[in-house]
Amino acid sequence: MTTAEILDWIAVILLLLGALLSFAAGVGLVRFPDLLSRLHTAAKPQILGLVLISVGLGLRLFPDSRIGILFLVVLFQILTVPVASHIAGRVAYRTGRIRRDLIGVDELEEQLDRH
Amino acid sequence: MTYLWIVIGVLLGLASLFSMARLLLGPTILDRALAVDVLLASAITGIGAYAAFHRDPTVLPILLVLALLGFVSSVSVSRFVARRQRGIDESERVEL
Repeated sequence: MTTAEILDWIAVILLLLGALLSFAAGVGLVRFPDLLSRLHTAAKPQILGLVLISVGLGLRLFPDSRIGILFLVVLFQILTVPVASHIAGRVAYRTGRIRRDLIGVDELEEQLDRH
Repeated sequence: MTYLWIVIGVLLGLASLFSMARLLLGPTILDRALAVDVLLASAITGIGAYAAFHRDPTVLPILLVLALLGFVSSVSVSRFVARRQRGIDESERVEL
């Protein structure tokens, strides 16, 4: 086995793990009961899945100089996905689109009551 | 190794199908926006897998565009929901 083949195998296994995370997010979207738990499962392929895919793709394309774009993709995704998820969760909480009976501890409500 | 590529494709197809099921069922508009986000993540993964399979770096800018578009779409949907809810609250207050 040459070095290139070993790199290819590592790349394929990383891509497989990224695809598995996407699949898990799809299953979680269908199975989980409310928006907050779906937010939890939807974040997995958006960050970790994308990092795995980018590393796998970078290993596959290694000598090419254009793989620098992959760093930009991961950087933008890491900067933007938490903001988008936070806004979606906050709007869902404030407009009552969540299931209160599924929340064990609601620290935000205590904070809101204090003011 | 060919089997692993097929498995990757099947997993991504199933993930997209499940996201589309939530897109159709989703009780609120926020659920649908989240389903679109996951669909977009599956699309990014799929395009990445395509580029890795063919060793084709020309599709990499598409990944960049998709990564930025997902943020814009989900934030605009959330802001729209928040503003509409505020409008409903104010109209109820006027009636009372």
